[in-house]
Amino acid sequence: MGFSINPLSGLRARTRLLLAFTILSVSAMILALVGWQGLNNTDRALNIFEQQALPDISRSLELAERTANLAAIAPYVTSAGTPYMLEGLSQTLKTKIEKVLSLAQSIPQLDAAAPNLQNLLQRLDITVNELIELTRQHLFLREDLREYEYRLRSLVDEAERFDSANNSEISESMTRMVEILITASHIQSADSLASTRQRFAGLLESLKNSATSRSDRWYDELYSVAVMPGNLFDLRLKQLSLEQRSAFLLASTRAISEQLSGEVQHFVDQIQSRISHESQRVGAAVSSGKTGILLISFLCIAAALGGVWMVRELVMNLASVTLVMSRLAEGDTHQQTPATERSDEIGDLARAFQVFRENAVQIDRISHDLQEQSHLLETVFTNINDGLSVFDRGGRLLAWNPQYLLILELPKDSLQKGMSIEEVHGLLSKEAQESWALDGMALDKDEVNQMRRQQPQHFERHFANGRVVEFRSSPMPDGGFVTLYSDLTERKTVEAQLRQSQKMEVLGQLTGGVAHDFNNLLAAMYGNLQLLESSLYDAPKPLKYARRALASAERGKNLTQRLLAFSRKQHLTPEPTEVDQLIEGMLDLIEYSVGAAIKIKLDLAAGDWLVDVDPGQLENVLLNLTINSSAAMPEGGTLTFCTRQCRGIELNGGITDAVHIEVADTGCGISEAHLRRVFEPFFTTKEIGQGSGLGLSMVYGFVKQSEGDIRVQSKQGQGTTIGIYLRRKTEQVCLPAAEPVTEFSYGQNRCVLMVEDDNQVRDAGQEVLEKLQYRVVAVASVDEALQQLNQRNDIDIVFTDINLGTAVNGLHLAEKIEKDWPQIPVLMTSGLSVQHLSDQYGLKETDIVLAKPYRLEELAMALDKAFKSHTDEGRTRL
Amino acid sequence: MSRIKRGTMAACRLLTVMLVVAASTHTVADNALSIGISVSDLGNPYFIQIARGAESQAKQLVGDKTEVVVVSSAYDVKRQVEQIEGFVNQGMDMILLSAASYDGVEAAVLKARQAGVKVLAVDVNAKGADATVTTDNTQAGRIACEYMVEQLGGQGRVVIINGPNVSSVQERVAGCTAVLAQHPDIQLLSSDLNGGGGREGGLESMTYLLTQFEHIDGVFTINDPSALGAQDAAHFAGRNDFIIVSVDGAPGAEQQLRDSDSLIRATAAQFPNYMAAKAVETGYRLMQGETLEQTTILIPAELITRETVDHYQGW
Repeated sequence: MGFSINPLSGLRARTRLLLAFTILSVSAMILALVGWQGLNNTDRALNIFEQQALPDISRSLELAERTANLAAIAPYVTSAGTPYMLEGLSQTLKTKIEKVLSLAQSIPQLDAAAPNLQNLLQRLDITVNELIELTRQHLFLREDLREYEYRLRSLVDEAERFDSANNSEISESMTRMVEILITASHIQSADSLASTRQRFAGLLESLKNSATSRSDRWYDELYSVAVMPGNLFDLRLKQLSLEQRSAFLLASTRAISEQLSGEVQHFVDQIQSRISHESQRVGAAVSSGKTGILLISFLCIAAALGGVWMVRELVMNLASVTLVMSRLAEGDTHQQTPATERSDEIGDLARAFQVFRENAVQIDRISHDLQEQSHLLETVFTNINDGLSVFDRGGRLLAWNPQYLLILELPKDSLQKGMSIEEVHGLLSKEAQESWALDGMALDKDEVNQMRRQQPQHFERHFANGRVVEFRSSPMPDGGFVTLYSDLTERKTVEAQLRQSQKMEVLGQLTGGVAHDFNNLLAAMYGNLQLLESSLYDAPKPLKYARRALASAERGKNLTQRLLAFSRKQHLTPEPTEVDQLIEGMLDLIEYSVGAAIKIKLDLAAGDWLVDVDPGQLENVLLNLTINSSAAMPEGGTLTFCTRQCRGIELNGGITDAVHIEVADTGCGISEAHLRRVFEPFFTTKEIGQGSGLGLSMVYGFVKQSEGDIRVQSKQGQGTTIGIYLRRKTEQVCLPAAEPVTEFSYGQNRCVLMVEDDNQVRDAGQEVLEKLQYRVVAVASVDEALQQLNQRNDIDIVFTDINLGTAVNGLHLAEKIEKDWPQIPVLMTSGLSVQHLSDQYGLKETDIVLAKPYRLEELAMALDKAFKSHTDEGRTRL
Repeated sequence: MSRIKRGTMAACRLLTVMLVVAASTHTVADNALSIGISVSDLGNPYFIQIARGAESQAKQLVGDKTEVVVVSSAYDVKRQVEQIEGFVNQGMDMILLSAASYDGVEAAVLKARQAGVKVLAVDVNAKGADATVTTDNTQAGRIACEYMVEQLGGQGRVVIINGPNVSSVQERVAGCTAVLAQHPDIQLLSSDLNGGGGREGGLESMTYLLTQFEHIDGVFTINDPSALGAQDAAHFAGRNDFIIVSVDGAPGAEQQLRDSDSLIRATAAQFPNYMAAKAVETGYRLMQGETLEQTTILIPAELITRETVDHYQGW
């Protein structure tokens, strides 16, 4: 929409509007003025009209009405019944005539318009007055006639009375005469009156002639009524003439009335013409006013149009800017802003709007980002594994996430914003409330809560059910603090397990090291003792001593082996195991663990039933139980091992045969409350630091891993019995029989290169080998061995210890030999376990290792084996 | 009419009277009792009865030697005054007067009395008269209107056709309005239309009223001629929705009462004969020099209705 450049484009909107308003209001004022003027004129004209014409109109109307009324009533006069009424009527008429006369006089123009009016009125007045007078006379005459009538009637009555008294008939003629007279008093025409008069005169004469005593009087009476002056006939005649004159006067009245109305009509006509003239004048004034108004109205319209035109452009631009703004309000930010180039207020508005819009868009974007972030944060907040809580500086709960509730075991939906930290504590389960500990040290929670507000706090809470929750609390800048809660239970478990395994490893290493050294010692002892034994065959007592010593050494060997087994990592390598045998085998260890105060009883009835377990683990387990039982009997007691064969019991959902192992003690027992939790990791009744609490959990773990089951029965004060069910291994696997002592070959003077760093052991070994008729070249290190191998070529076999105290060990040597002197077999020996050797030293499975300490026979056999396998190997290789 | 003419007329009249009187002077001197009676309207049978009654009483008193002259004033004061003066000049013993106006004739009355003539007012009061004999007009108006109210059931629209401004008429109207005022459901539409005491006037007034009021239940007229005139008007106008009660008991009204189609239902009957007789007697006594116990004698009216008309004796 292109707005053409208009001459006013440079003006500000305000100026334009003012201009428009001014023009409009000025034209309105002019209009009003003109209107006012017109109305004034009209008013004036109307006033003139009112003052002059209206009175004239009213007067003429009145005049017309009065004269009409007068004309109407005037004839009425003759019908007045009594003089009294006549009087009233005449009064009325007189008044009316007076009024009309005075009215006529009050109209100045009347003489000009109706010159005859006054005249006529006066004539009317005279006529009416005469009429009134006549009527009065008429009435009186009527009364007079009535008087005569009365007299006549009385006469008749008298005559009748006379007749009845005197029996005469005079009355008849009397009556006749009276009737004639009475009729005469109502005769309408003068002629018939005259004739009647004559007739009567005749009758009267006849009466006179028929004289009676009475008739004189009657005659006199009749005479006076009918003949004397003022007689009945005269009166009637008079009446008739009066009536005639009345008729004339009435006609006169009517004529005058008509003329009067004619005159009045003239007058009224004149009034009318004057009035129409006046109204024309008024009309002229009005129409001039109207014209003026019309003219000015056109001017006003023109001005209005001009104003509208002026304002329209403004309004349109304003509208378009408003539109853009509204669109922005709805969210549409891509509208083009119009009118930005204008130099007036609208231009300012448009430009300002543009800026505003940019800001709005930005804000929108920011807000959107903020929302996303906030949403993200919220999601994070809600979904992190850890619990989170925010308290304000007054200790009131501001925010929390679902995990907070879970971790602290708070009832669902129990939290509300604004709750104090004390209230939240109140919601925790009773056990949770009371167990505050920081790394083993009990804490005062109030103190802690106080501290939380000021400094970061990091502590753990140990729950009575074994859970551990880590609190990491940081103060916020505004005075509150935010806390993360991590359920450390698992971690702790893992940590503890790690620690335990680390301990174990260290222990293992330690024991490995110790055992190794010990083995060496034993080997030396063993070797020498064996030599001693063999050389004492003919001295029984020293032989006995030597044998005892040898037995002890044997036991020592077993013990170290046990230890080594114990120190092995907990890798389960199940193998068919006879439980009874196993228990009997570890009896010494058990005895060792429990001390002297506790008596050990064995009740083994598992027989030859096998179970598929890692024997080392099983030993571990039993040892664990032993230690526990021992701890429960500080004053001493009885520890019983009991095994049974169980057929067809329910185990882990199936029916199977199982071996039942029971370890029972007569210790202090376990309380009901703790009974439930004995297998929980870290659960221990021992003092902090006394035990890891992991033992039974490991037992439990082992049993479950081996597809068995474990039960605990205990009575406090009486003792505890732990029962383990292990599934019976049904496959008949032949146990590899313990290698009986077989025949072995003697050395046949073969040369053995013996590598052993321990002097005692080396010496003893050398002696034993020589006893076995081997030639021995004994060296103490790999270097020496290699030297020998390089120098000599008569070495048949190398017999080396693995752990030689140097970085280069027996294995390396064996490799070297295999490489450089492949024809020479290698027999290795070590005090360390095979496990250890394979893990730490990279012992291969095919390698043969003789365990220290070894018997003479064992050594011989091992050498045989080494020779044999080497030959086989050579054969295959070839 | 010019005064000269009037004066001449009056003179003529006087002359006539004098001549009449002169014609019978000889009888006057010989008569024991001469009475001059001036009534209001000899067209009204009522006044004729008064005259007749007076005459008969006079005859009773002194036999045949009486002279009774009867004239009518036509309710015109001037005429009546002339008549009184004429009577005095004639040497009447007493004058019976139904005055055209209560105090309009006072001067003449007093003059007459000064001349030794006994003046008795009949039918209406006259100021200065020796004695007055009238109907108890208030009672007459009252009983007539009581009857009318009763017939209307105590409610309705009523008009009164008034008459000449004489005491009898005034009293009758007063008696009637008093009764009407006691009944709040009775609405008095008009009471000042003057029927002049005559039939024509009654017709005129009734016509006016019929035009003015669409619904009229009852009409009280001050005398029977007016009542007859009112009935005429009703007949001509075709209106028969009201009843008419009146005062007089004249033969015309009596006849109407017997007619079942008539609107006239009741009339408070006067006793003109008796009234006049009483007046004459009283005058005679006065002439004998007696003094009267009371100078005003009221004769009660008797209500005659359609039901009781048969018992009415009439005038």
